[in-house]
Amino acid sequence: MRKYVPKDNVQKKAYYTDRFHVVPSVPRSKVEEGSHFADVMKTMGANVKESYIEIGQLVIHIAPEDNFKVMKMLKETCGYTQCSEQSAVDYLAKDNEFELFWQLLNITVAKRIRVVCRLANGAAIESIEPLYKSANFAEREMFDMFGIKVNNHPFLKRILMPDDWEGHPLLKTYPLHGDEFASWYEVDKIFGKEYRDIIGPENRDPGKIDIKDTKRFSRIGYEVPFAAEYNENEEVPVEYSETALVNYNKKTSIQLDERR
Amino acid sequence: MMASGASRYDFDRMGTIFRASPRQADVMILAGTLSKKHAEFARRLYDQMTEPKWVISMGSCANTGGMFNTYATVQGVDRIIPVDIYLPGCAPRPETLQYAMMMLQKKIRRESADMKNNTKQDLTTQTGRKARLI
Repeated sequence: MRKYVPKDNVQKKAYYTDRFHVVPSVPRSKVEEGSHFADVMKTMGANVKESYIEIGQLVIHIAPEDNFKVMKMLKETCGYTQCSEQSAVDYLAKDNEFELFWQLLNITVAKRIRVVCRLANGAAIESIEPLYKSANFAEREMFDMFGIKVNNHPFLKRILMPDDWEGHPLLKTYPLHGDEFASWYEVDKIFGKEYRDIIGPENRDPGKIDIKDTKRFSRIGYEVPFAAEYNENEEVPVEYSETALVNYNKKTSIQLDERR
Repeated sequence: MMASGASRYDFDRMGTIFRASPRQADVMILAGTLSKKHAEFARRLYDQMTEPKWVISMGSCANTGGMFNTYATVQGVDRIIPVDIYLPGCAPRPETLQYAMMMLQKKIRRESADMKNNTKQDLTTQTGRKARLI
C-alpha cells in the first residue's frame, strides 16, 4: 500500500519535494565498429570532443569555433543534407554557458546526428546559413529568444518578438508573465505611457472575482441593477422564493406521508 | 466564424456579410488570441473603420487572454479596443456567434441615432476605473 501523506494544502506545495530526486537520463551507448556512425566519426577525426549514441542517434560534442568546419564536413562528406532544427539551451545559472545544438538528417541512410557545443555567455557563434538555408530562421529565433549573436548571418534580427522588444524570453531568468516592459508593451505602443493609469495593470489571475463588480457577477440571494454602485453597508436579507426554491427550514404545505 | 458564414449557419440571411476592408465594415470580430506584437495593428484596423462601429470579442483568448497567460499575449482585447459583446467559449460554437450578432443588432436598435449618447467609447476597465479611448 502507498504511504499515507496528509493532503491538506497539497495544491500549494511543489510537485517534487524530494531534494535527492534524480531525473532519469536516457541511456547512452558507444559507437559500434563498422556502422555508419563509425564512418562519420572517422571523418570527423579530432574535431569531436565527446560522442555517444542516444536513442539510435549520434550525438557529437564540438568546440564552438569549429561549428562551420564540422557542419561542412558533415554535409559534403557524410551526406547530412538537412538541418531540421537548431537552437540553444540556457545553462547560465549553472555554468554561465549556453548549450547550442544542431539536428542534422541524412536522407539517403535515414540517420540523424545531433551536434552539440557549449558557448560562453556573451560569445558569438558562426552562422551555418551558407550550408543550410533552414538555419537562417533558426538562428534568428535563437538570437530572438536567447540573445546569442551569430556572426556572418545575412539578416540577423528578431523573428518572433517585435523589433523594439526588450529582453530575451526563453532565458530562464525571464518571467513567464513578462517583465515590466512586456506587461505594458501594447499600452505604451498604442496609447503612450500616460495611459497606463487609465487602463490599469493586466489581470493575471484567471479566477479573479471582484465583489464590487456588479457588471459581470451576480449576487447570491438578491439582485442589484447592472453596473450599480457597490454599497458596503447595505444589508440585504437573503430571500428565497417559495415557488422557485424549496425552503427546507419550514414544513412543506403538502405532507405526503403522515409517518414522517 | 467560418462555419457561421457558410451555408449551414448562413450569416447572409441575417444581413451579415464579410467585408475585405475595415473601411467598409461596421463590426469587427476579434476571433482568437491577440499577441502583443499584433495589438498595434489590430488597433489600427479598428481606427480605420468608419463610425458607427462595434466590436465583438470572440472566444476566451480574445476576452481574457485565455490559456495564454504569458508575456506575449494581450490579456483581453478590451485593453486596447472597446468591446461591445464578449463571446464565451473555447472555441465558441457557430450558434454563439450568431446569437452575439443578434444581440448586437438588438443593442444597435436601442442606441439613439445621434452619437452624443453613444457611451461605447467609455470603457470601464476591470479595475472599475473609467477609461476613455479616443
